[in-house]
Amino acid sequence: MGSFILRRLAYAILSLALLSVTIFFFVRVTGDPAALLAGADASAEQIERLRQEFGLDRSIPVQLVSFLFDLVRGDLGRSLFYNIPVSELIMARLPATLTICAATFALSVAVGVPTGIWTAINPDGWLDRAARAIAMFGMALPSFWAGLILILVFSVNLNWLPAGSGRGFSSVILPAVALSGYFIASNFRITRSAMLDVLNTEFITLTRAKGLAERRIILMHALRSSLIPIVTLSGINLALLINSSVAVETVFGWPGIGTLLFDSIAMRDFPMAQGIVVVIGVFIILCNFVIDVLYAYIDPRIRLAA
Amino acid sequence: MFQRLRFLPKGDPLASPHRRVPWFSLGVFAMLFVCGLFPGLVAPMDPLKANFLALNAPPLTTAGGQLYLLGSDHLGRDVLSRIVHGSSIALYVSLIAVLFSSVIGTTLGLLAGYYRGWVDQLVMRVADTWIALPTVSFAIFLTAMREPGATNIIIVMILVFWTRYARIVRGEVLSLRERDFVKLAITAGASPLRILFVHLLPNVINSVIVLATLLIGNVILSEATLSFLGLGVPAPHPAWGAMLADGRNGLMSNRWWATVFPGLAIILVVGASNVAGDWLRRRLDPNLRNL
Repeated sequence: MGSFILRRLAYAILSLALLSVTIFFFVRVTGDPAALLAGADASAEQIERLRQEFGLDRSIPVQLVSFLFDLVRGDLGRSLFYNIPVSELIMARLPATLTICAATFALSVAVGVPTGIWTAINPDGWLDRAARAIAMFGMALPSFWAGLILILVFSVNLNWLPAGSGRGFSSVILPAVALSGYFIASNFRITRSAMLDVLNTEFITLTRAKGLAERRIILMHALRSSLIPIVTLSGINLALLINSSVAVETVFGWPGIGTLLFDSIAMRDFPMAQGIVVVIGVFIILCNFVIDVLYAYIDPRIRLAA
Repeated sequence: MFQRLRFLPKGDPLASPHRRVPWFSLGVFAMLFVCGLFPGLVAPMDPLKANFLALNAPPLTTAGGQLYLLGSDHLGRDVLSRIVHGSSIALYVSLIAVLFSSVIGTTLGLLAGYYRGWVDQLVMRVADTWIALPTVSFAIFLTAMREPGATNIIIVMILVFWTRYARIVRGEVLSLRERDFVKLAITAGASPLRILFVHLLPNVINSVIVLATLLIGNVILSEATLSFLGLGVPAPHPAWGAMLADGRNGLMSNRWWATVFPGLAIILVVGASNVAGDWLRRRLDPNLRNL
């Protein structure tokens, strides 16, 4: 188990390095950051001064090393607009984003997984048919559009829930529901399909032959074996969740990382945009590392094979 | 025995691989192609022409002798015509992005699976990293560097989606290369290039087609998200996401049509791509269950 974790940790670090190098080169390949910072009507001297200030006049390898060195120390540079360290700004906005992501995750597991289990036990029942049809819709639903429609129905017409942020729990409901449509659907589909696979195996027949209670068979044996695909999917969906949350945050004016990133473009605040992309990437890679370790915990075959 | 039979799922894809043809989804796809390729023929009006006599007209309004079937937006432009013209942007972005990511991903997947070793390590580690790439944030970032436009979106989509192909193709090649026909080809002195493209490629092409069908919807959804955020094709071009962004201002005064209809267009097309992809998967490749 120890060597498995070490190996995975090495992969995670490698991924982080690759991610930072990708971002580093993208900035420099796609344009001249100094000209961008200076604005359209800047003189050549102004651009040159900025180039020196940000160290863009040094050779590429030197820049890369100092960029990576700063990252390791957690230094993401200073925001041009707010003139405070980018990391401070991100830390201040992170809780808001984590709140709706956590609420969405909880909602998608709480609704998707039980529905998947129930429909796998009773395939082709009315609930199964209805759930599959709704899931088809959910998979195609753009979350920001769902947010707009929820605002239209529940804020504008019914006046039940706030369309913006800052009203405590009641303002979390609409963004979380808007975001969770896709994730409920995908959790439901994967749970149903994994449970159907497991329920047809011989080891479940054996538990029946042993005379275990049906409830115990489903929850203790079948569900446990279905966990692997469900956990895998959560890892893949995580990146998607963060992506969709940027647009949904904009719809609801939610004061999270997404709106911060969005604003950073309007203000041409390029160190901030770069810092946020790095932090989001790090977050996703770390979560996937945790999921890998979780796997090995759930399934001994994985930790033994590695 | 009876217990097992009870659990044999009648409606499950595995039990009935030749499910009925999803005519509705294929029809939606056909409509997307017709509208996307010949928007001028399908759309009743000019999508860019403002009409100040018909601002924010609700659906089924007739103004100046013209019927606004799905209403008009805040500049009096016909919503239906804009949706039809928006489909050419969706089609253009998704076809180019899917085409390039299929070619890049399949090639790298073939190489990684066939040569294994460091090639495999390199491709798979990059794929692992880039699957974690926050697409939307990265596109926003890229737009901060460049001017907004369809090219940015296509670049980001290719960067992210080639990894899907690489993973699946690599996995299949890993097992295919141990099969007799590949061994025999090597013994017969076939060049690696010939083995890769004449012997291995035809065996993985089904999965590539299935994935491409599923990804068209995915790309359209991402394109809509990005143009909603103002990162796509610049105004006044009618991208679906940008239409939704325009419609936001009317939302508070209950002008629902500028928001509801473009969204329904996205759901129809993305849903059709999902259903058609699932159907193809069952027809072509029963082993490829999820993703």
